[in-house]
Amino acid sequence: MTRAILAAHDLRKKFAPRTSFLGHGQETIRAVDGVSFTVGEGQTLGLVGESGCGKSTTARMVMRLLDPTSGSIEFQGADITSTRGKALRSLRSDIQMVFQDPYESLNPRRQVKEILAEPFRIHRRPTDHRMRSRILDLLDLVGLLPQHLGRYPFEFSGGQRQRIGIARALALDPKLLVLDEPVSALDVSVQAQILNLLIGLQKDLGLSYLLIAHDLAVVKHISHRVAVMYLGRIVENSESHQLFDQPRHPYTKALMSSVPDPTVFKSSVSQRIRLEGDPPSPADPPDGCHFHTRCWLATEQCAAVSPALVGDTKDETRKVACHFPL
Amino acid sequence: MSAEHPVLSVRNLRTEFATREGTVVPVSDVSFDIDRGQIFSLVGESGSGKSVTAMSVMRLVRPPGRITGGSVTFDDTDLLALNQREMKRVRGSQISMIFQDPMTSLNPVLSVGDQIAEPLRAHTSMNKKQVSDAVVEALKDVGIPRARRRLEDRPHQFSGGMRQRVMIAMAMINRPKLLIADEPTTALDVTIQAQILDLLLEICQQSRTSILLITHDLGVVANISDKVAVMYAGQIHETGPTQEVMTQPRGPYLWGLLRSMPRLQGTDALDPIRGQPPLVTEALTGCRFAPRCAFRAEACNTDPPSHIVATGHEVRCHFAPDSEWVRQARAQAGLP
Repeated sequence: MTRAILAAHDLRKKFAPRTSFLGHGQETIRAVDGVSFTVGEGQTLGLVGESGCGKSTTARMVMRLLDPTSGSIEFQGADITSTRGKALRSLRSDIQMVFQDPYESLNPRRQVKEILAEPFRIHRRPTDHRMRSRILDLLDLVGLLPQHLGRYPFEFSGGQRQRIGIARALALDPKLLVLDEPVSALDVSVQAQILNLLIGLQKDLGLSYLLIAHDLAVVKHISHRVAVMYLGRIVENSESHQLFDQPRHPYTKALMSSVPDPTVFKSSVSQRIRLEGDPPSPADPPDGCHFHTRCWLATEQCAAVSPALVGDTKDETRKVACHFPL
Repeated sequence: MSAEHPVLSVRNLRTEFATREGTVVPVSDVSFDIDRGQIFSLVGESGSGKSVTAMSVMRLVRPPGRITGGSVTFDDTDLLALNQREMKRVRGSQISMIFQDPMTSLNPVLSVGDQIAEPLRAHTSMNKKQVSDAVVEALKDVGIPRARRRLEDRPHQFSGGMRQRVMIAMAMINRPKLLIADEPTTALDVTIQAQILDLLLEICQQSRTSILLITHDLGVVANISDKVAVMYAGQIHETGPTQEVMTQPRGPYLWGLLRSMPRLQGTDALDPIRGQPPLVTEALTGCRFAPRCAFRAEACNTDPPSHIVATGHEVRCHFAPDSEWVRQARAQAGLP
């Protein structure tokens, strides 16, 4: 197995109740409820799940934009859970983020060259000719042209803007990129261009990715390992091909079965697994296995005892949190 | 040939927007028919003109937009010839519409019961009791549990999926002949999307309502529609029976789209279409897809006609009839 560049140990994040001026209290929300995973060096871990499952909160903790309630985060073997000040700043040049919406994450009043120079200024790197030649390299890396330097974000299409976002994230030679839904705002023909770009960059620069996404097909396409989240917990974590060839958690299976497949037509579509109802609220998660209220295999044990995420007896890398794995 | 008239027949529809930079033509020369009880998908990427087509059918295009040509025939009525008052009588009773985001299309301060009742009050002369019974029935039909007790609830008390069910109940309450659904599941999670797609299928089968489904997702298209039209830059590029069109695409645009899609089945490398769609101005000449097409030739500088390549399967490409490019494309992709 490859060395881990990032490791999360039993991460938890509770959002405290807010009390309104009328005195109505709200429940504590357990957004992330004991999550552990590793990202291998030069590899991609896909963190997948539906809205509210805690995947973005997890990403924000890894980025140190949110402090975990408990648990720890290790980056290149060092505990970074409570890194502060100068050390945090230098850490930030090693871990960079690419955002979902390339329309909102670029300053509309800055030219491309200013957008790409900003990381150098913030991190007090030399801003002379070395920076200028580095910026030209960055443009080339992401498939943009030198004549784009003087343009503003509105002059670009969504795909090109995402390329600018990626170039900015690469400016300081990071080791890990956190990709938060990097292609979900893009049309399918452009989405494929960006996915291929990300795969190429990983190969050429030896980057590691933590990919947050809801689209299983996208996750499958670029991830080495995949962790499936449901209501604040990881329910399954395996090598990508294993997980998609033979899902072991019922939720993974149901999720895969819900994705509309362009080769399945109206006549045969009824063979899907259907989940009923909505996921429960993270403010009031069910006891035991969080998924038992929607699971077609649930028993009394599932309602009472929360299953731990454990490795398969034959294959330790294949982890599932289920009393009755498939 | 079906014995019945199509419910909706659109011929050579053209819609223009006058802007400072010149005239933009999001819909030019769009024609299609929807039969009774049929689900018809209009699929395309952003800016392809699919939503403007739907808004044109509903006569909801606002200035500077204007329908400048063609006809829209609904159940033997020429919708483009109706005045505003007559059109209002059609909307919400015979044709209704649901949108992508149910939170922004529902009124946050009115109860759900009142909102669903609105089309009934506007188009029928039912008394209070009849209205309230019909609303409860409509909520039950779309699978909302404990319907009678939820009439007074506000939209924020429902989940995203439940709100979309409320929208569907409202749209279906007058038993319309045509439901226009504009990206109805795009804002929803996949497990909830599957529930809503099932519901649309069920509605279509039980009430024989026709559905015009606007979507960008080829998976959704395959799963629920009978017929599909693929739009590109304001025109229909390829259309026909869904299964035939999706399994045997004969136009290079649909071919490229399918090759760009990551899938759960199979491990093919992605083969993206180069570049991006053009801005649809009046100045466009020749095949609109040609600048991005890997198989373009001299002929593509002139406007391609729509070729019929199989029953009901039409493709706007010069090379669709002999399909030499299909053989080339399959060879390049390493397919038999």
